[in-house]
Amino acid sequence: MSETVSSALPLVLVVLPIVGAVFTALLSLGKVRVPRHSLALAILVVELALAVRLAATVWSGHRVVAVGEAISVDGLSALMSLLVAFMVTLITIQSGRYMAKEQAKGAFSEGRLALYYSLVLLFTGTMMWTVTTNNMLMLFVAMEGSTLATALLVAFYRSRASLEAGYKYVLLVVVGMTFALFGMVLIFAAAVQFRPEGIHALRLTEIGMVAPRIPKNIALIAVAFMTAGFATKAGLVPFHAWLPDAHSEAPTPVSALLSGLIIKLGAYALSRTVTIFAPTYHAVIVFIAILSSASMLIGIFMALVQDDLKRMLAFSSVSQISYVFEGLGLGTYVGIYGGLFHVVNHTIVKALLFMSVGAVMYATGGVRRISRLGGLAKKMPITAFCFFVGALSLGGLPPFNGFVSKFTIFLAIGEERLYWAMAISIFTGLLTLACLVWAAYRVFWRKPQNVEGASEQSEFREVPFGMRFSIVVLALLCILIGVYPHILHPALDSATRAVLAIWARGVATP
Amino acid sequence: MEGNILVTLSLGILITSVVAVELRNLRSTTFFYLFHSVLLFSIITAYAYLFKNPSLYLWSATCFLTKIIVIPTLLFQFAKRFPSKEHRPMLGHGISVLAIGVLVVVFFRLFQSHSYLLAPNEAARTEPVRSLLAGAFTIFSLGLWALLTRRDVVKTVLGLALMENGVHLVLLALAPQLSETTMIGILTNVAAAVLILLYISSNIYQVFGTTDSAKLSELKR
Repeated sequence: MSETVSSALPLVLVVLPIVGAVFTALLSLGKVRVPRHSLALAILVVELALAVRLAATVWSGHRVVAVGEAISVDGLSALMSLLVAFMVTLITIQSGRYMAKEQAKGAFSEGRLALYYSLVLLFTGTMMWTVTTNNMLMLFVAMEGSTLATALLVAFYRSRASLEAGYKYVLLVVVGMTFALFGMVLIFAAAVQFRPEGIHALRLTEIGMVAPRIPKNIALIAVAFMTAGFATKAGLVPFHAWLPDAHSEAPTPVSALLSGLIIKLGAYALSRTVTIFAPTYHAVIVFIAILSSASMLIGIFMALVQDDLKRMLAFSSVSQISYVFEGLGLGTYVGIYGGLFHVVNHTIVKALLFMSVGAVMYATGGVRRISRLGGLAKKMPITAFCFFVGALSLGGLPPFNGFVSKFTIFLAIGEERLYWAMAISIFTGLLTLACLVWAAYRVFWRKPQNVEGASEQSEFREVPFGMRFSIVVLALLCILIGVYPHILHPALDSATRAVLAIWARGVATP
Repeated sequence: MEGNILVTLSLGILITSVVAVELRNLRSTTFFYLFHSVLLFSIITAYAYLFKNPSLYLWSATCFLTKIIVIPTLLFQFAKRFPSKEHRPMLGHGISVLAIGVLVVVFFRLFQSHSYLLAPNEAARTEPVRSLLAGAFTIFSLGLWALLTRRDVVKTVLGLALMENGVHLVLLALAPQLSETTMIGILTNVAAAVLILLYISSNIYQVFGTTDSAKLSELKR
């Protein structure tokens, strides 16, 4: 058992971006002309520094708590908070140029641009709260908070299509989270028998101890409800209906946030709640394996038929998050390790791909239909290279990072002798590779389809450094992690042990 | 005696739920949503009194603010600017009534005869808790039914509210004496209310291009 230390650091990690969000919004109301992008970026850099500091403390063998034990940072929390801080910072760097150009085009007013950065900070704060809270109820509230921030970002353009995407997202996620809440309430009511002080029956670290003693039927019903709820948040089939619309109607940096981070909240919540029942009930493993296998296959089939780059990547995310659920659902060390590894890798790769699409849209005046694009590699060699790295990585080819985490998940599924699920996973991987490489070829290397396109081509050029920076960093990270996967091992091992520790004590204390 | 009051109120809330889902007039639906919320408020207050848990009064106050004032106000604004007749449900009226009847019978029979399947603790296997649970599960299912078979915004919001209220009634039935129950109730109530308001506002904005009340008045049909 790791040593517990008390610190205000986790609380600052949550409060800082929320205060920043309020401050930025107030500046906007006051018509003060301050560079919001720089302000938001400054806050996020501080946030990233704090997350690194916190992670270093955790990885040296401590569990950090704040506000009593209401906030608890273990290996999994540290991994997720670092991931959130890093990705939001990179995405905000690219946002600067992209959103400024959108504003110049008249897509929205300068006031709304300030609101954009306020919402990104609010998003960051609610994400941090979600991954650091040790209270099941607060987990729910924080996830709902992130839904609020995300929905406002999705509907940011306030076009009919984006508003529809926004409220569709709200509707479906609220339904899903109500199912999850139902599961949580059942567990709370059952757990309170063994933990007479009610507050303990809400603590994630305490519930794991009594999980085996919760009546079987209640446990399985709760697991089914929570899985359905978190799968909705994550966008698994058949709960995915919000996902392609949200991704395609949101500003492209927001699409990167959606696929990179928001859908990972569902996986995080699953790893905190549902996985504690996996060792006790094999049915949980099979249930999640079936759900995940169906979802990854259907997701990639739908991705293959899309002409819209953003929708294609969105459906690909339906497929990829299913790998994560499959790994986490196994409840074994290798499965959880692989699932969390894929959380990291998919976050990096999908943000890379979406930001590359953002660069393409920036350069072409908003074109994102594959059939209208072609031959961009000559004009945008760096973006082409980065997108291709992302495609190969997501397709699971060595020496890229996606290969390592997918292969780990394959091994974990095989260990559980679910060979049908293993076969589906591998087959889906091949389809993913085909889908993305084909898209990359058509966008960047195939000759343009028509004369009109040919004349337009002469106007295209590579995007500014500020936009290229983020995608180059991510592409290099794909290669680095793929070649040296062990650099992530301390973080992943710590996170995996944190998940296992929740229920291991339950087994030890019958 | 305490159980009778709670069972009576729960029966009332179940009846108003069914009526609200089935009404074809959306303005009347909004009214029944309000009535439903008043009953929920009464139930929470009754639990607070009967189980001597004064913190539950805070929850009933929050419920009053969100479900009896804020959301109905916005729903009424929305409903009066649209045709009062509901879009034809995907299934016919008869099928819907039949399905709801089946839901009610299934859940009450399930809790009467096989409460051990769904009971997290001992108290849940005895009256009046198991009847309260049966009603709560039915309301939750009814909300899901409304969401799956209805398209109008008013009915959608009703469906969301019924699902949420179903969960809250389960929570109250199972752990009425804990202060954590109040905390769960208030926070989830507020979180859901914010998102429901966002949902309604987004719909209004999409149709009218504004959520400004003054401008909305100008658009009155």
